[in-house]
Amino acid sequence: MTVEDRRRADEALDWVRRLHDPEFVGWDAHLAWLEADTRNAAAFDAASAIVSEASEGLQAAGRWEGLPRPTNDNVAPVAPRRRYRGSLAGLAIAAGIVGVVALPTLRLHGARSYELRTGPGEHRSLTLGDGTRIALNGETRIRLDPAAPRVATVEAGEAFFTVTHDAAHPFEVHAGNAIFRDVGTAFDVQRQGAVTDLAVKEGAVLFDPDGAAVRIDGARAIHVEGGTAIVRNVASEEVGGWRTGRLSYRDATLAQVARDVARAIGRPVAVAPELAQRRFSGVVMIDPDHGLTLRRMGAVMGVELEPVGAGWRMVPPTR
Amino acid sequence: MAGDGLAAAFATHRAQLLRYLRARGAGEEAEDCLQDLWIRVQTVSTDMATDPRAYLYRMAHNLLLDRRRSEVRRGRRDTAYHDDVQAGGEADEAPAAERILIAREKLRRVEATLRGLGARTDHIFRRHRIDEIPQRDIAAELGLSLSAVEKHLQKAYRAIASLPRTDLFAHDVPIDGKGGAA
Repeated sequence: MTVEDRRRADEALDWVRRLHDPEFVGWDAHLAWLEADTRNAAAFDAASAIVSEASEGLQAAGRWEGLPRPTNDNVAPVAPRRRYRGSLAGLAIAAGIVGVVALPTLRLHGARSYELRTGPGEHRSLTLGDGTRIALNGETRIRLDPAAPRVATVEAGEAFFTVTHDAAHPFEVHAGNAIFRDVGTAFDVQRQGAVTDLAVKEGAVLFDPDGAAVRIDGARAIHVEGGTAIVRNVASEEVGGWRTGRLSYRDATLAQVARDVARAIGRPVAVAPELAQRRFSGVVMIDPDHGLTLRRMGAVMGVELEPVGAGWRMVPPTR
Repeated sequence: MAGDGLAAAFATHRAQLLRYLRARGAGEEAEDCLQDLWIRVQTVSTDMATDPRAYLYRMAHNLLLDRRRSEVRRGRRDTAYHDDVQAGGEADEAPAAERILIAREKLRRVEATLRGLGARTDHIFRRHRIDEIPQRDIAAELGLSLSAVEKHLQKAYRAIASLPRTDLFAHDVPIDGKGGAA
């Protein structure tokens, strides 16, 4: 290594340190350094790879609590640290501990995969590089990984997929332990806790493609909970109706309806226990005026909606 | 809210971002990276991004890190495949088990190196690198000046970088194009 190479490597290493700071703003200076010599970019990548590789598996420091006790080499190894980068849950924990972390920077910082989320009542849609479209309902989190562009993970909430079919590279949607593989498709995926519901509008989806390989055609839906899966019929025009503010039901529980409406309007909607299992068939139109939405809904369902805190609660009619 | 502010900032700084991607050695990939960046811009919520320009650069930087990482992974897979083929197509568990051992040994060496620099430096390095706490905040937590924190970090980075490459990249493809694993 020449003296010049050594100097370049030292500079690159210091840029790696500076850029790793979530508050780094010296991009102009960084660009100037990169452009000063075409070899600088490679030196930066090399230094970056070395430090990343060396940091892999290191334990988080946490807050400083004074000098540590003398280390004892016989101490059982601590369970592998959950890696924070790329994991929004992890980042949220880190942010919770220190309380001062700038979230927007952290959210993206060094993330291998990234998360898209919508707030309560917010809709968002995006088109992936292959033309696949994903529409996110309110309070939804999905994870995408540039290294695996034909996979989307629904972590919570509901999303509607219009997949650009490629038989050689089938698109997969993961939700909890459930894996769905498209066979040329538009379909809706909902995830609530440990329960996953998928409904196919057009085309077909394979559930558990490498195992049971259950084929779900258009106008069919599958309910996956624990080790069991139940397939049922649905009206295909109902699938993904939330995108246009139209929620259609056939023999759904009021608990299910309340959950969907809550997601659509971004406010909690509770159900009195005695009503939770009551059945409903019909359409709920979501109006920008939430009060109107709920009055209509109450009228259609024969229940009353009483305001509770920031939301509403379905109760039996008082009359 | 979709990132209108960020989208506008993207339009304003598009040429500069492309220049940055090129300067980072993205070459012919640069336009492709910019396209990826645009997709990400459309999907992030920006109400919290106080400095959209810095935020865009940060996204571009992360995008490049992602791409480099998948290149390395691809390289590793190809290497493993060739090893199998050369061994007569009989893949077995040994390489994976061996890799785990190597990874543990690597971690042990890195930890020993950091410990050797003193508890403060060790803490500051992990606080910065793993916890991803801004250097300014680390300084405040420890009652140190920012430049003192920077000095601790520079010491740790230099120590890490001067570890023998064989300790870090035993199973990897060369990263600098001239036999970094040697």
